[in-house]
Amino acid sequence: MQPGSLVGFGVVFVVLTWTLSALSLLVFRVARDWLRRVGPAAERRAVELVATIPVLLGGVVVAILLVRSGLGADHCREHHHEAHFCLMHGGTWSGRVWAVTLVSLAGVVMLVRSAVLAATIARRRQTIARLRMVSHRADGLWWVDSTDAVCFVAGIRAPEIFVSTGAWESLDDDERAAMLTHERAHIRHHDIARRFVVDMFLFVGSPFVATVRGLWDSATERLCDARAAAETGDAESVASAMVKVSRLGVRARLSAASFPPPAQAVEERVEAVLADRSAGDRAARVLLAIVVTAVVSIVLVAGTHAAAIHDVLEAILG
Amino acid sequence: MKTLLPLGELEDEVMRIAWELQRVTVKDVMGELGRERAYNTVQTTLDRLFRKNLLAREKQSHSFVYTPQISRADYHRGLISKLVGELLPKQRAPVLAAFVDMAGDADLENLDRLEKLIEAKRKSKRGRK
Repeated sequence: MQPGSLVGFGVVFVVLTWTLSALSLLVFRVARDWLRRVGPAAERRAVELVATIPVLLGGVVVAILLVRSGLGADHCREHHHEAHFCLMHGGTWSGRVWAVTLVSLAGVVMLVRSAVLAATIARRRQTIARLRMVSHRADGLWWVDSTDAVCFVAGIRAPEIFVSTGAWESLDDDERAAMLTHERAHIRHHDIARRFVVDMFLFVGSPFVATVRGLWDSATERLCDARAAAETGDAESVASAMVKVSRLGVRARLSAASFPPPAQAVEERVEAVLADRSAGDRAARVLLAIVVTAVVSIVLVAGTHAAAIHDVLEAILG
Repeated sequence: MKTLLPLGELEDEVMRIAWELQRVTVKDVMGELGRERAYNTVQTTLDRLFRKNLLAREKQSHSFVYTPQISRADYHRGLISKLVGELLPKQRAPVLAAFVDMAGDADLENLDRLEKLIEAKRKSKRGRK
C-alpha cells in the first residue's frame, strides 16, 4: 500500500461532504417555510438530516472506493501517470499540493473543533458541578438561590433541571408548570445528547457548523414549546412564561450594559406557540422514512455502479 | 475586588470557622478543625483566602489575626451569580439548554408587545368558550 494514496480518499470525502452539506443546506433553506408550517419536529429532523447525510454519503462513497481498490480490480495500467483512487498505486496524490492542503486543512479544522468542544464541555461540566454545590435539590429540581433568570437543563447523560428562585417567583402556577414541562420535554427526548451527536457529524463534515447548529437549536426550542403547550393544554402560559423570564433577563442585562439587544428568538417562539400548530412529529417520521429510503437507494446504486463512480470521481478530481 | 472562586475542601472548612468565630488565628483554626493538620498547611490556606480577598488580616504580636471580608450569605450569592454568568451567555454551548436565550434576543418594548399578543389570545379563547 502507498500511504500517499490515502490523500486521494481524503479528497473525495472532503469534497463530497462539503458539497453535499452546501447543497442540503440550500435545499433546507428553500423548504424552510414549508417545514415551519408542518411543525418544529419536522424542521428539526430536516436539520439533523442536513448534518448527518453528507457525512454518511461521503463515508459510503469512500468505503466503496476503498473496497474496490482493496478487491484488486486493477485498472491502474490504463491511468498512466494520473493520480487515482487505489491503495496500491495511488501514491501520486501526495505530490499534489492542493490535495494535501485540502485534506490537512479539513483534518486540522476537525481536530480543533473537537478539542474546543471537549474543552467547552469540561468547563461547563465543572461550572455546573459547582452550581450544584451551592444549590439545593427538591422535587427533582436544583434550586438556585438567585434573582437571575435561570431555568435550564444541563447534562448529556443524566440531564437535570436548574431553576432560580427569581425565575420561579416571577411566574404564576400555570407558567411554572409550562416552563417545567418545556424543560422535561428536553430531557424526555434526550435533546442535549442529540445535539452532541449533531455536533459530531458537523465537525466531521460540514463547513457550516454555526449555521446548522443555530437552526437546530431554534427548531428544538420551538419543538419543546409545542410539546409543553400540547401537554399542559395552555399555549398562552408557555408563551407568557417565556416573556416573563426574558423580561427578568433583560432587566439584569440592561443594568449591566445599556444597549437594547435585538428581538428575534423569543418573538419567534411566542408567535409560533400561540399559533397552536402541531409539533409535526408524524411529518418528521415521514421525512426520515423518505430520506432513509433515498439514501439506501443511492447507496445500492452506488454499490452496483462502483466502477462508474470510481471513474467519474477520478475524471473530476484526479 | 472579590474573586469569588469556588473554595477547595480545606478552604471551605477554614472559611466556615472564620465565619463562625469572626476572628481567627492559625492556632484557632487548627483547634476547630476536626482532624490533624500541619501548622504550615493551615497557614497557607489562610494566606490563600487572604489573597482571594475573602479574609482580612492584621498582625498581632507574632501572628496574624484573620477576619472575614465577606459574609457567608454574600459569598454564596456572589458565587451563584458568577457561575450563572459563566453559563448563561454561552448556553448554546453543549451540555445545557436554557428555557429562554439570555444571550441577547429580547428588548423590553418587544416583550410588552408579546404580552399584549398573549393577552389578546387569552381573551379570544375565553370568548370562544
